[in-house]
Amino acid sequence: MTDRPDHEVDALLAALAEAERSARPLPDPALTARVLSDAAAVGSARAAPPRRRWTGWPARIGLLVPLPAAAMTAAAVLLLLGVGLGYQIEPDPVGLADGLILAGADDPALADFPL
Amino acid sequence: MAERQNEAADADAVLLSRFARGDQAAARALTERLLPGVLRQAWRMLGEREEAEDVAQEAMLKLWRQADDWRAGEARVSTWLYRVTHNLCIDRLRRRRPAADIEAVAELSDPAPSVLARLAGGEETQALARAIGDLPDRQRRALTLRHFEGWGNPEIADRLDCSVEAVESLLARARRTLAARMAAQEKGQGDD
Repeated sequence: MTDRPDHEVDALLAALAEAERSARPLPDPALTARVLSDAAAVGSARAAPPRRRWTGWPARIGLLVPLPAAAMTAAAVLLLLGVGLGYQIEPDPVGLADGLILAGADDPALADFPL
Repeated sequence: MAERQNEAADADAVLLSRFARGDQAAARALTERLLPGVLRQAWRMLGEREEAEDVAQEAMLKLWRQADDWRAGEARVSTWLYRVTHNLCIDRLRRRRPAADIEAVAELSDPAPSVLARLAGGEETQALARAIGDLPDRQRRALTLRHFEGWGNPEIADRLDCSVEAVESLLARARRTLAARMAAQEKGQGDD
């Protein structure tokens, strides 16, 4: 048994490849349209700004700080203001300083301590 | 030929980066350049046009999604797409025959021998198609890319993750195997 010479195998391969080429499916317009529609969907998803969580109306009116952070900052500022104002109206509202002085006056260990 | 393929690969990468920046015209150009090959590959592996179209659409969708993370210079777009299409086809073939292991499926896949056998007209080309179907997987893939896709050896090497010398060796062995198997088939027919 002798093998086929190379040039014969090549010629047969070329014939088969030609048959395959002529039978190849080409993308029809519907497939092309589906592929391009996918590309457009991916493109527009990419172009849309990323959704922030908890932004809601602050984002719509141009606030860039997310709502929880803004609310917490405002609460912290109000708390500090409240404490400051309260202290100004009555610096020692519960008489803490007096209590300490009185407690110390009866303590022999503190008898010589200059209060 | 290798130079032309390098230029084509560069052009694909440029178009993909333009698409990533929002250029839809680049998507159209990429579709025109790549979709026919993807469809052809899927059709050769699956043997059915409708299923091949679904795979082609899915492979292209993966490409669009990959555009942002594409690192130019690491791989050719066409090579990446070839692998994606190959894997999608393997998944489909596996679903068709769930009991088959992946090696058995890959053996039948690129191209499906039935597709070539259907196309082969004369007795000799029929015998050739059968012999191609019986080739070891890597020999068949190298031969298919060379003779049916018209790829150059460097690009085949890129696709098969081997050296150009290894591709030359695969092709030479494939031709020898084909010649021997066709001769054996003829002898078998002669004996009958």
